[in-house]
Amino acid sequence: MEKRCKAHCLVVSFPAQGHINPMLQFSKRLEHKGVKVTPVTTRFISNAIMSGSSSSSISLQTISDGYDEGGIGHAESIKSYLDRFWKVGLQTLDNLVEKLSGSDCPVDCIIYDAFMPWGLDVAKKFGLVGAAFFTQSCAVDSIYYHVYRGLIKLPVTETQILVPGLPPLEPQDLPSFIYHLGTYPDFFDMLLDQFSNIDRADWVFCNSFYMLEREVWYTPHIHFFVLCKSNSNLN
Amino acid sequence: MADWFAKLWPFRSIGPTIPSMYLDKQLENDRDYGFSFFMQNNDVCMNWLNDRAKGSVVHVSFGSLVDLKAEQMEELAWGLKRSDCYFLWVVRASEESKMSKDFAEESSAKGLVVRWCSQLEVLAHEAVGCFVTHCGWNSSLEALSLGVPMVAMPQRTDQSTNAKYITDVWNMGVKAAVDEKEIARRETIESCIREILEGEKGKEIKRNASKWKELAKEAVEEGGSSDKNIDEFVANLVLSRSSC
Repeated sequence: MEKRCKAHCLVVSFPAQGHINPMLQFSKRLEHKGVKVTPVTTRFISNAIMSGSSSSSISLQTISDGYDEGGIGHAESIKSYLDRFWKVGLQTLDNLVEKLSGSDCPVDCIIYDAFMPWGLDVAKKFGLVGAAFFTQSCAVDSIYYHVYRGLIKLPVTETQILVPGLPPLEPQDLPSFIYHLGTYPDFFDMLLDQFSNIDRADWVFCNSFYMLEREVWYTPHIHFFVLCKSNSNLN
Repeated sequence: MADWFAKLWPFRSIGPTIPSMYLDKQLENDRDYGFSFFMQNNDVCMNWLNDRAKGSVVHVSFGSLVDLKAEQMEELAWGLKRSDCYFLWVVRASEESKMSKDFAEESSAKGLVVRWCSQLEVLAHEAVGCFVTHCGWNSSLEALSLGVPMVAMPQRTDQSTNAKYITDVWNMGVKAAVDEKEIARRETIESCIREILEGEKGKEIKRNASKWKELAKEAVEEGGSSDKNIDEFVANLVLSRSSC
């Protein structure tokens, strides 16, 4: 029988190369520290990828986005893709955790791409640690958070936008979903929805390094996650 | 103040999330991300780069998802041609139809056009002196970690904000200004490339780039910010397992 492991994390990434890469790198670092890691991606992605040369003992598990044959390319629209993914993805992740619960090393924690806040719902249902991983920069996350809280009003009419910890921004420095409001509204909703349950996450990780975005990390009082926490305490 | 934050909210940086062998070398087998959606032929790129002088090549890539406007593609091709530099340009198969038919052939003395490559290997090559990028977050982190100056050509999503940081906060590149149609014109692209490869600004950025390269490595090294955050997280996981 396999030796009981130190801890076991499921790492659930959003099905795009730019999202899978950083979470896979985080997985390798965790594995290096002795944690068992199981990366999770969609069946479509798992079939589409070309394996690289890295040797790793990490074994992949899959969930379904509801489009196993063609991924988002087979969906009628972004909205229908996300709607179905959010339903089928949650269900199949739920099944996966259930399946692994009978193994020698049951899951302790779900690290989920913040794009998919339902990862936290599954973690909480099974009493697991839930950790959100933001793949974008801390500054970008902060901008979306300020929009989510209504602290940046849309449409943006100012010529200069001030966000704590960020340099003064011109409208065209903002993410395109805000600057060109109305383009890809369903993706934009998803980006704001990242914060819908963040106050219940046990950990929040950001794909960055401290010295790179020191000012965003160090903005006292109005720091976005602190604000988020204090708001949830008030409610 | 750091402790005060730590107690308030478990918000931690992890990264840079690029393979260890390009940074701290703690994970000996970690040379690439481990998978790709695209077939790549790195030998062709590496052999071609090996024949170029240090810092002389412009690497051009818009990542795995961006669809350039055909007009932008043409301006970029002209910009590269006018700059008269060596270039390695990644044009995904789905983007090839936007490129003028004879461009790759006509410019073969100066440039290599490939469908995909291992960007890390290319950026880490000493021949590469400039990176024309869409400023996707992973590409930005790779260039920062490997100390390669950038020409920022953001197209959509978070790329515009990343471009702002690359130019104005990190001083790691210049931004190719766009016109009212949101196209960066050939003259602009040419002058940005020249600024990086030949100008005073390029020298300043190169000095700055070595600082970021060092800080990126420090973050993931034993005892660095990312390493400590991961240790803390793992210790907590082990603790919560033993307490239940």
